[in-house]
Amino acid sequence: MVDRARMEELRELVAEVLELDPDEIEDHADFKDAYDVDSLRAIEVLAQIERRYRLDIPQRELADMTNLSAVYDVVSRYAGWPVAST
Amino acid sequence: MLTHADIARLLPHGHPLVLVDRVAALEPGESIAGLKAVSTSELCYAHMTPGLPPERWAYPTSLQIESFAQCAAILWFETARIREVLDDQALIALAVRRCRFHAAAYPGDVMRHEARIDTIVHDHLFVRGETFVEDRCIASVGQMVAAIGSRRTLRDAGGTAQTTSESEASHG
Repeated sequence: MVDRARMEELRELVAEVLELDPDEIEDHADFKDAYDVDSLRAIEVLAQIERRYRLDIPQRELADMTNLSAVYDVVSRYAGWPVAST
Repeated sequence: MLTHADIARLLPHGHPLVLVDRVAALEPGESIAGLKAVSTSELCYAHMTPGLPPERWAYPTSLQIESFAQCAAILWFETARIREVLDDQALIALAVRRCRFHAAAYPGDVMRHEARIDTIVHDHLFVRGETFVEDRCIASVGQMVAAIGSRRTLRDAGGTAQTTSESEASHG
């Protein structure tokens, strides 16, 4: 079960870093293929997440954070949010 | 406060690439206020000729951002010193985003760069801030990102960070 409000927060956060409209960020669209996200943008997303939620997420998790849904999964594990079932 | 002697010791740059004259305020891990006086004796004005319109004497924004970045680098080096991390720290500026220029600095102006550390995540330094001339904000930097490494590692990795080019490759 996904916390939709948290998911929308993440969508806005990711969109802000990628300088896109939140509506353009689809749940399962691959960051690299769909939005041309490089390693720098990825670390910026991670930095914003850590700052916003005051978390400490290991850099190795970046490899799994390839789309918004995957970002939610990773963040939820460290923040104690409901975990997505899909 | 740091004098120019302190700055020259901290930054890997040499003359004439050091673009910070003095540090007016510094709080390691938090913020810095660095001063840079704009002067017609600088290299960027070397080939100016009489009769040019006033706006041509605007200080180049590229050098203004470099000056801001050097302040951010000083802030990091002092932060690293306090935290007793590696003593051969080097920074590589990766990105400057959401930069806004509201007005220009001219010869005779003293720019005051106020930079703050946003966060430090996985060897990446995130800084933001503003540049003032007197009380007027002439520019803002929404985000500056720099990779933190050691000079030795950078040399091994890229082969470019050495002698004179080190000052260009390893600043903040």
